[in-house]
Amino acid sequence: MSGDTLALLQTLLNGALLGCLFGLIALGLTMKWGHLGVPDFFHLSLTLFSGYLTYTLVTGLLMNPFLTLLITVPAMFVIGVLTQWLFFTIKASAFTSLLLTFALFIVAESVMSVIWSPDMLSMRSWLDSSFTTAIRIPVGDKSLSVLPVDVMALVLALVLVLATWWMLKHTRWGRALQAMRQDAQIAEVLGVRILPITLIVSGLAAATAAVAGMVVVVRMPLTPGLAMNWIGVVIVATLLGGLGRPLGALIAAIVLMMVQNAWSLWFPPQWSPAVAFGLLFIYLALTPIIRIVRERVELRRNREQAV
Amino acid sequence: MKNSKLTKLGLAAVAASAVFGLAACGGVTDPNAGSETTETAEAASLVAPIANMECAEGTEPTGEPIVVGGSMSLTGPLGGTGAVHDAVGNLMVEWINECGGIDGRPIEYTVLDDQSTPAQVTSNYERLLSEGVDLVVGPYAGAAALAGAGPVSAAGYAYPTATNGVPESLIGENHFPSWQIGGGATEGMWSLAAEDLATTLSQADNAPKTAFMATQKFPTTLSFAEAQKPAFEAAGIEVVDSVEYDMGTTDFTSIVTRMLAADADIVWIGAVGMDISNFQLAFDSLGYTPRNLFASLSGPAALASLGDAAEGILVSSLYEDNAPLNDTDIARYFTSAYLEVAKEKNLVPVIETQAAAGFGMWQILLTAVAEVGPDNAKIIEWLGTNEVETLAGPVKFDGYNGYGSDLNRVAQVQDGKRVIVSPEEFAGAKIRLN
Repeated sequence: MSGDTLALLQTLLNGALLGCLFGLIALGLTMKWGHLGVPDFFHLSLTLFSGYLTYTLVTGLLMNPFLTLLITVPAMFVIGVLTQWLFFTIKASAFTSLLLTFALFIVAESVMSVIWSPDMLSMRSWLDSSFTTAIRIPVGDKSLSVLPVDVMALVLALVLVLATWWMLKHTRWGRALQAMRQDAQIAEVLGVRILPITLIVSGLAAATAAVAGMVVVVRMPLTPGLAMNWIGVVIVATLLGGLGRPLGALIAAIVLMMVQNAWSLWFPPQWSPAVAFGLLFIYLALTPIIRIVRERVELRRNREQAV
Repeated sequence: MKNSKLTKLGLAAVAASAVFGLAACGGVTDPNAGSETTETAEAASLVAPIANMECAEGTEPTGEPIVVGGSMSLTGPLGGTGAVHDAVGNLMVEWINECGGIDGRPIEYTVLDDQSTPAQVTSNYERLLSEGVDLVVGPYAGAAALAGAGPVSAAGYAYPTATNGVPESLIGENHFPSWQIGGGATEGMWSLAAEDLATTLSQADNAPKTAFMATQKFPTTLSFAEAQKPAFEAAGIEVVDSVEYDMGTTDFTSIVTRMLAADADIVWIGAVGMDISNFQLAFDSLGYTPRNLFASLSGPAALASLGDAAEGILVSSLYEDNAPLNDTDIARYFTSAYLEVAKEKNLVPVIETQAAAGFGMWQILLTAVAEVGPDNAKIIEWLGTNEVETLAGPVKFDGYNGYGSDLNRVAQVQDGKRVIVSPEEFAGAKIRLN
């Protein structure tokens, strides 16, 4: 295998694994946006906040990062429930929710600056080498490298996304949620309990932020403004994957990061973020055209059947 | 029904075993356990923080306060390093007041957060000037320094700056930079720093023959990179590939893949803030260790976060905690006081370029105030014709844009500690290249 092919494979692999992390972050966002109608920017803050909380637990109590989930997951669940309860209490529209979550996103950065200082925090020197030493995968006479933490992101993303997908498809609870999404009033008339389901979905979405935050702090250094760097990829992945579709968001995040990385290998890296938004632009531009074409095809087919 | 329950149980078991399987993968160890790696403050006796002042310890300043205003990035992407400058400002004010103030008058420091946004910097200085502050100090980083220059210069105030990385953008005769990047040159203001680095590398044992350059799109680093390419070529170091990347980039694997392909003797990274930390992740990810690495303007926390991986990394420097620069009474007290503040505010307990430049900026302003009082016109006139003793050495302001001295230094992490390796007169150790 030539060096160029190996470099491309390595780049695509790294992109795919990083995409898993962004897919994990996007999971909670797509669930809240798609099923509860809340485009929740605060979800990104909760992810970062969980990262900081994990940092404190690991460096303060020498807890294994995975065991910190026993604390951060319930904590984030409660925050998620309370946030949604607030929106419910003030009867916030989707637009109001968007503004409120964005305001919370900004406030959260300042709060984290005050609590943990605006300086960079890294857990790298606290983790033993099993987290930071690359795993070699032989490919011919050469090898590809993978960080254990990236494998961790892959496994957690797959487990959580597939579990969410399965629950949506195969449980009464998931079907109730989908019914609620289609028409909340009719669903309520048919016995779906809107408020408890809404609160639980919000709580579970926030709980996924705890898991994503743990991966984040193991993988990269933290600064209070870090969440701002994720907005582009996470929002684009959520939209491209289809709102409310966790698997779609994960696949979109993986493809986006693979494309961005491949671009940076051959072209000036400073343009790679534009690639993500370029893909979103193309998708948004083509969506109505595809819909019109599909509708015309269906119309013609119906006419032919009628004749 | 039974099958459905079994499926649920199976899924739960898979999820649980995945999590707990991963949990067993790695552990956590306290890097500080067993050894005293944290910097500790040595007791140092109180002296005046500026050369032309006697410290009247125990004398309470009683006169009307001299109010110094400043804008600082306390939040946003530059907040980490901004916190260092803010801590230094507060430390300096407390210190000078402990010494009885200047001419019996206490110093007061009013700082406004600019959220790392240049537009907010302009607004902050306009507000400070309208509130009638007596003096101002500059903000952190080049873009902010330029943003503040408009209102400050228009009001006729002296404008001392700490780390203005765009020295070629003219501020005027009221500009008094502490980190003298330009060194008095009139064109190619980063050329002296670039030439110093290229010469240092080319004259060392195992001198590099090839270089790979990766530069963040930030005014300071772009200026530096532009000067570095011809300086490398002139010193016989071929630049085999170069890339630029956006501020805020966190995934560098594709750039590092290009580095691997280029296999250069030295990797030159034009980075500010925490980039080096994210580069290290990409190095880990690809199992790559550059033979030599220069990480120009990395934040102290970013470099410290690398642990053992920081060994051998070269950085641009103004000051490091090694003799002869740290062998003065002022340096000893500053080190002692700053390390205490750093501990209190969760800052990296290291005195290096940022802390030293911030301290130097205050020294420049207050030395002039001690000479001519808090009169901006007189301060500008006095600083224009006199030399000021700062922590990093004597500085003068008689060159273009106030740059009058060459204070470019190169430091390296050796045996876990930052130390100046060039020029020889300030070096605490000899450069080590692979």
